[in-house]
Amino acid sequence: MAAEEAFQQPFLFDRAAFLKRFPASEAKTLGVEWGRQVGRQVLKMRTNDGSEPSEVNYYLGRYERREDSLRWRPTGPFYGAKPGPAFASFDRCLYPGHGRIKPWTMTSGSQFRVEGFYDPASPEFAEEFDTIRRLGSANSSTRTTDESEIAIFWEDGPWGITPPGHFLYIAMQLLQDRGLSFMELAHAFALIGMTQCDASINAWDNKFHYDIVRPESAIRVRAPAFRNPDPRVALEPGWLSYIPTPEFPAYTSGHSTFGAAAAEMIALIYGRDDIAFSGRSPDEVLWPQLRGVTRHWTSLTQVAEENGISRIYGGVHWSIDNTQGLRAGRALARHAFESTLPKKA
Amino acid sequence: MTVRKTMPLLGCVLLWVAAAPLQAQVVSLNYERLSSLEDPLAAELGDVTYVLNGLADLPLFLDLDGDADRIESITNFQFEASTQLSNRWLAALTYFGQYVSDSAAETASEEDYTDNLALSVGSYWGTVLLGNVSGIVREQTRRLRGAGNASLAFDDTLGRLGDDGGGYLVRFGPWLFSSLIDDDDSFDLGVTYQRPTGTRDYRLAARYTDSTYTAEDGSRTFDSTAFSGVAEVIFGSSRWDIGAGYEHLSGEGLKLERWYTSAGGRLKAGVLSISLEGHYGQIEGEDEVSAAFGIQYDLARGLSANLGLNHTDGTASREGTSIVRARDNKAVLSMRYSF
Repeated sequence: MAAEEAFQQPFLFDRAAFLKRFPASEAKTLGVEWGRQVGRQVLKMRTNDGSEPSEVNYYLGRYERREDSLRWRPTGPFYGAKPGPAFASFDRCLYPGHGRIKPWTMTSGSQFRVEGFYDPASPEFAEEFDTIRRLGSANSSTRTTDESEIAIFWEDGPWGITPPGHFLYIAMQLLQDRGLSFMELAHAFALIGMTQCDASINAWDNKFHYDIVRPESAIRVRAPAFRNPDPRVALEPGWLSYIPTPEFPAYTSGHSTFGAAAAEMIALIYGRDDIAFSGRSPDEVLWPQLRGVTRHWTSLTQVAEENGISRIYGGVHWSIDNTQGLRAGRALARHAFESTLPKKA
Repeated sequence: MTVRKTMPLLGCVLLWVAAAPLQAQVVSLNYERLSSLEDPLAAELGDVTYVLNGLADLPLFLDLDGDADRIESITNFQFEASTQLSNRWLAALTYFGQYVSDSAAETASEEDYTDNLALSVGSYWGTVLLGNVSGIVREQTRRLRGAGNASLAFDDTLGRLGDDGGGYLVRFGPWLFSSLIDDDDSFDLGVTYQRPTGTRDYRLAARYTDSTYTAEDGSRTFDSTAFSGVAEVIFGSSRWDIGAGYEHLSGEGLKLERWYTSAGGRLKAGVLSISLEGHYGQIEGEDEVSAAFGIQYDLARGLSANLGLNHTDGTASREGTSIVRARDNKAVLSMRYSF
């Protein structure tokens, strides 16, 4: 029932096929009824949770726009990796109100709000600016082949599986052979699912609270406005990022927050972080160059960090977007694991 | 370069950008200013979200056959009020208005302004729509529209449903079913299947239509029964599709057979979208041919320069009735702004 609501489709045939796997019995009837009750309860809990008007891509007064040179502006479809997806030019920002919807495990959307962004005239910002300009450009001479592959492997844009989808896919891969009971798996995926949603709320709260410009806009058009004395903070109008810049503010990275929250939660459920495994990209349609590519990791921490830094290699995030997103993601996952759905003794 | 001062200066830069596309990426239009109306055009009052969208288009129609050129202004707006009911159904009321002025017209048409009203209620069981929703099946099952001002003539059934009716859309995984019935009992049924396979994304669509068609000269009305299909493949930022259709027309003692095929491709590279498509068909052995080439160049959020080169050639008549008659070669240039 909750899945029907989330996916906005009646899983008539899927439900019938699933139920057909179990012989008719009183237990089956009671199970179906219990499932309905739980579904109704979840739906009741989430009705009017603020998500419905938040799907409209207008600010609706939820967050104030900043007025200085760091203010986010719409980004264009300028990127270098080919072939790649097509998408609208200069689109309206995506879900400005998402950070205000009711969280699942956090006390509020701003519970794990991060510290402020750099002063754009500071040496730290100049360093960030120069790093992204060199490393994240379409034709970077400093980015390695492996780093380019990482940028595309974790791109997971809204036209494909998305970061939460990719990490749920990884969670299924890791937990399916762990010998967990049905209830333990349900418990695990409830926690992972809730924290992925809360990661989105946390990241969107940060994004629209701080309203920080993307590297694409900063490098192509905004550089002089920063009044940074470092000569490296210079305009480069023809600069292209390697992967597409998403149409919402930079700080913090949603990818980093999703990845850290998922990796931390899977490690807590699994009982360890040092898990060696391999994975292929679930999206080989709009990034066909990923066909046959397999990446290997030795720990969940490595997975989260590779996913996070992919946005730097791709030229769509500042480094601090990644580091702060990783920190927030881990914090909210630990909080959820300790405070939500405690296991019965 | 950043345009910040006056509208005349903005206009000069727009013209310059349209004339020099290769250099346009070094120009930064201040599209934050173009979007300054964004916030006042959406509001949340109580549990209802109100959104106003608009579009203004200024097309110049150049007749390549030497007939009179003309310039129009087209203004659309859409006002929607939506809310989530306590049972989680999503309800929306939408009003759409369009004003078209034609300076070349000898007399002002009473139909310069047209409007639609539609109500929709949706849940996971699908969405029910009522009102002026006559295009819902066609939009789900058609080949992708061309870029810019491309307009491929004949690439649809001749038969049309009435403006007012009721429709239903529902999704089952990769399947999307759509249906529509109008107040004259004409109906439209459609099904679309879309799923990635390997490195490509495929979309298949089929449509069955039972409707009516009034001949080009208005002398006869036909019952139309039509079946059409579309296959589309998406690879990276390009889309390629083919379509085919068969239509049977009967009315007042006259029976006609029509079939048609069409194919096209669309590519988006940065802010540039290009499409090329062609159509060939026959009505009772008489040819209908059309082709369209379109370009859309996005200048800023909501602002684009558009071009369409459209060729149309089709004439068919039987027993003194002109079934279709269209012969035209047009270039359509326009600047378009939407919010």
